[in-house]
Amino acid sequence: MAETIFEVRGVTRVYHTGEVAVHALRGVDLDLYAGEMVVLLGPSGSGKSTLLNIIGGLDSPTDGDVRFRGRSLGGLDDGGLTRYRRDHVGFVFQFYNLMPGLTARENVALVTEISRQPMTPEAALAMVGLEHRMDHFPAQLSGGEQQRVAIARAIAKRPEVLLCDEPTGALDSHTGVRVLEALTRVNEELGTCTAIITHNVSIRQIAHRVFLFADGRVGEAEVNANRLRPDEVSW
Amino acid sequence: MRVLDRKLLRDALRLWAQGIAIALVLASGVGTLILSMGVYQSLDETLRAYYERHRFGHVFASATRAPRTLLPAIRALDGVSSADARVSGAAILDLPDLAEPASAMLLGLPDDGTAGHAASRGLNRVYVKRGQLPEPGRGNQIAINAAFADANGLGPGDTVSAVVNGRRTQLKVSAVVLSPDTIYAIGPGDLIPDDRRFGVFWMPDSELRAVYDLEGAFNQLSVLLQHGADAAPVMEAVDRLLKPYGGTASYGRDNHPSHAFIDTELSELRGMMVVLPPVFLLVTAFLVHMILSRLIALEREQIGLLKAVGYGRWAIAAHYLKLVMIIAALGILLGTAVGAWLGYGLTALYTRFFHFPFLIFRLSPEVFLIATAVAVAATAGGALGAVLRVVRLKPVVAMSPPAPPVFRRGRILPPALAKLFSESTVMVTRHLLRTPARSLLTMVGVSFSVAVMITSMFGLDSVDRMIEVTFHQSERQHANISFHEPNTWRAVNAIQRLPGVLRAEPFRTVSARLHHGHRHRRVAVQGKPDGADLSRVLDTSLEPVDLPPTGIAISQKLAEVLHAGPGDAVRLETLGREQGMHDLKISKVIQGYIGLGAYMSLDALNRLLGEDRLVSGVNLMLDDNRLDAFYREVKATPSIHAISLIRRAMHRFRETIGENIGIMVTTFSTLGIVIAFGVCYNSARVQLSERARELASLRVLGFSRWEVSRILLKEMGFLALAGIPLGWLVGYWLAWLASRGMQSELYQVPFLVEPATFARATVVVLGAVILSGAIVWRRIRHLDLIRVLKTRE
Repeated sequence: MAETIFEVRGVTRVYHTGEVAVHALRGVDLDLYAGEMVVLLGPSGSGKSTLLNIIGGLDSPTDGDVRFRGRSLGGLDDGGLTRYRRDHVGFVFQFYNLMPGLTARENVALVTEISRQPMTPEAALAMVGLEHRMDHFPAQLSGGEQQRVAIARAIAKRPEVLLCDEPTGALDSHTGVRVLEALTRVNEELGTCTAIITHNVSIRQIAHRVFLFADGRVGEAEVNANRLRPDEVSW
Repeated sequence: MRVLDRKLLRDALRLWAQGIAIALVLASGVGTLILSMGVYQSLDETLRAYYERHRFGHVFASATRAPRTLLPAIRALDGVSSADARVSGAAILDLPDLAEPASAMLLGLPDDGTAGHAASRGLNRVYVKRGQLPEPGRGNQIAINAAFADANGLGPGDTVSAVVNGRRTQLKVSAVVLSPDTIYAIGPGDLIPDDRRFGVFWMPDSELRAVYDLEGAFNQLSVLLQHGADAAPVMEAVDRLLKPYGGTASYGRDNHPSHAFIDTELSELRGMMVVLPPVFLLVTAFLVHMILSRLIALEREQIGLLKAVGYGRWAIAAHYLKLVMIIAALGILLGTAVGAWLGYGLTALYTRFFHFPFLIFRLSPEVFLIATAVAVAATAGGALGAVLRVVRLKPVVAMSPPAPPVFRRGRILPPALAKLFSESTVMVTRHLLRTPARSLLTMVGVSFSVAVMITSMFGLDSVDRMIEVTFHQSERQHANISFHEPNTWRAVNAIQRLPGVLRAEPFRTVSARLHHGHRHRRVAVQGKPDGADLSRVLDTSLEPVDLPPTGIAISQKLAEVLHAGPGDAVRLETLGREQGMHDLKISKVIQGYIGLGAYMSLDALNRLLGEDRLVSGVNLMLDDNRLDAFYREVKATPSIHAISLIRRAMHRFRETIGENIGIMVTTFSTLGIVIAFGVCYNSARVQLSERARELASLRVLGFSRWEVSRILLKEMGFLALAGIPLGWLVGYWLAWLASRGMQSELYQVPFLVEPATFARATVVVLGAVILSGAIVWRRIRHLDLIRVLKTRE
């Protein structure tokens, strides 16, 4: 049995917008293990992103607790959360969120400069197959390439966990597959626990385990007996 | 270089135009601060050192003839460190290549032979630039002031022909000198120094005593006080001691003719220091706030990302602070360079009027540090709000797009009202009202640019009015001649007969002290004959009035400082030769811009003094065609003690002002343009950035480039047009404050802002607005519709 990295217990998140209270999460319990690749699947507004943000230290639960390697994230102040994100977490977003004023290499260096034991930006970009596009600015790269830069940026610090929010959401099937290949390679070669949010049902097939979200709740994890390689998936 | 710093540099390069516009505003603030503080400090320090080393007195007094044996008693007074007495006189000079008569003030040099030495105990010690100080018995040797020497090409070995106390004599120049009591040397009746026509001559005191028949006596006293001693009791004691010898009231440095002018200059620099830099610094803070807020709004998601990947909030805040600090650094460098350059220029200009052994502009480290500190504070202050938003922004919020702006129907512009206007006007109005603080601040920024120009240039209007009233309505004589001693009407008739004299009106001047209750002031009471037309007294509505047969008329300023008004009883203490105490009533309060004026009818004044028709001098109207003949006669008439060429003085003053108007208008228009451009350009760029999608959508819907541009230009035009009248008001108010600050007992500058000044400020600012409009319009023309619409806002 692999080591448990995250223990999520009874996590609730309520947003107040004006006079309306929105229950994004309603008592979620789940565990994530070292080295596994999980897919969080569900329709828009089902609470996947909210959970990912809380796990990633970007947001805090209204109630409940998240433990990272046994330590509660709830006890961390802003500085503590910043260090946690800096040292342990890699993010990949749907819209890449690259700094438009920095080249691919510099976007990665942004993270390696503040990390403890990073790989070089060049190595990280090579892992996602972008060694020949390192000095291009985001505007000069295709969507898929931009997302791979984002992945290189996320993994360059050798994070223990990689959180990907709709990483293929803005991409066509062919480009999306390249991105998933990059994520799978990282997961296998670096042993990074990888959580991928998607509402694309096909992608579930590449994961070790799948969590289904609906209306702020999560069901039992489904274990994939037969994982597919990304290039075997299409949508 | 760190990656974030690389982003910083690229951001700075991308925003260069806006950055430079702001840096220019900041540079104006830093520049005016460095200029005013630097010059103030240089002038002040030089002055202190010069006064200290050359023992410039603290208290000064004159007498008709006081025995030198009084000196030990004066030196023994409490608070007195040293006292020095000398003889002073006046001379009319005949310079070979000058048609008009020149004049000189004669001052005695100590006879102990130590006059120029550091060891001298004498006060107001001269600084020898060239030659050897005159020594007694060498025969009419003199030292002359450097300004006069330079203006007339004179030096040691030259001779000057002069009439001294009625005797024509040849004076031999042995030295060219400077002195702390003649830093600013102004001739009788002059408004600014005329070095060609007025000199200060020093002779051994023993020789001057012989010339004026003042053996064993003096007529001028200087007193140096002990450190921290109060001048008032010393002045009272000196007055008491000198009274039996025709002493006129003593006065302090603040009323010393040389020092008072420098002091006025110092207070003007102080005024500039407190008014101009704060305006520029405030505008800088506003502009920094505006563009940084926009930049941060645009980079919301990047900020969120930086936080997500583990950058601390203060590290990100520092990143944006660094960006504005680049602007600050640019502003400080540019401002320091320009301020220092202007400082050198202004100091050089000062050396034309103020004569020091050395006066150089020195940019001291503390002035630079203060300027840097306030510039950094203004920039950081402007950035504060935006940077705090960066700090507080939650990463998860930052990375989701901002909620669309809330426009509520009716809340901002009621539909009934909106119907009256075109769609684009409604858009403009709603947008302006939706960001009221920014709209207001932009308007205020424009108004500041107008106000800076009005405040800086109204002085010309005021001086013009002062000249107009003083020399065209009140003192209309071409020249006046004064006698050494009060003279009879026969002397008036003699002057009347000089060639070229069209009209001669006598006057009488008596030094006095005017008391009202416990308040008193030194004044020179002027007696004018009935029906005087050359030198008239004007009432407060500037109408010429006759002086009543009894009582004394005083100027508004004198009435103000004495707290006296028409009908009040005052006591006139006449000094000098005509000592006495006289009770009088104030007959009128009249207008006067120069000094503290007190006037009586000539007959009434003579009656008061118990004298019969004596006069001190004559005001003259001259025939321009016969001036040469008139001047020749004046030079040859020994009874003439001094002559003031008032017309010439006024023309010279006008010329000097005229020379400086160009520089002033250019400088202050540049400052006005810098603010107006900085505010309008940045505000329009921010608008354009915020509304690029909206405007591009309108283009896609079929609006023409011009129609789209008009929306932005309308906003800018509206804010500018609203800001300009506000600027008139603010400028008028600041100018009024500045004119209050310039009032002294030496001058009362009338407060006046001519329509031309308002117009000039308006035209310059409109020009800057149009220029920034044109630049923004060019950007709208090149708006990339597709790219803008694809951008996720």
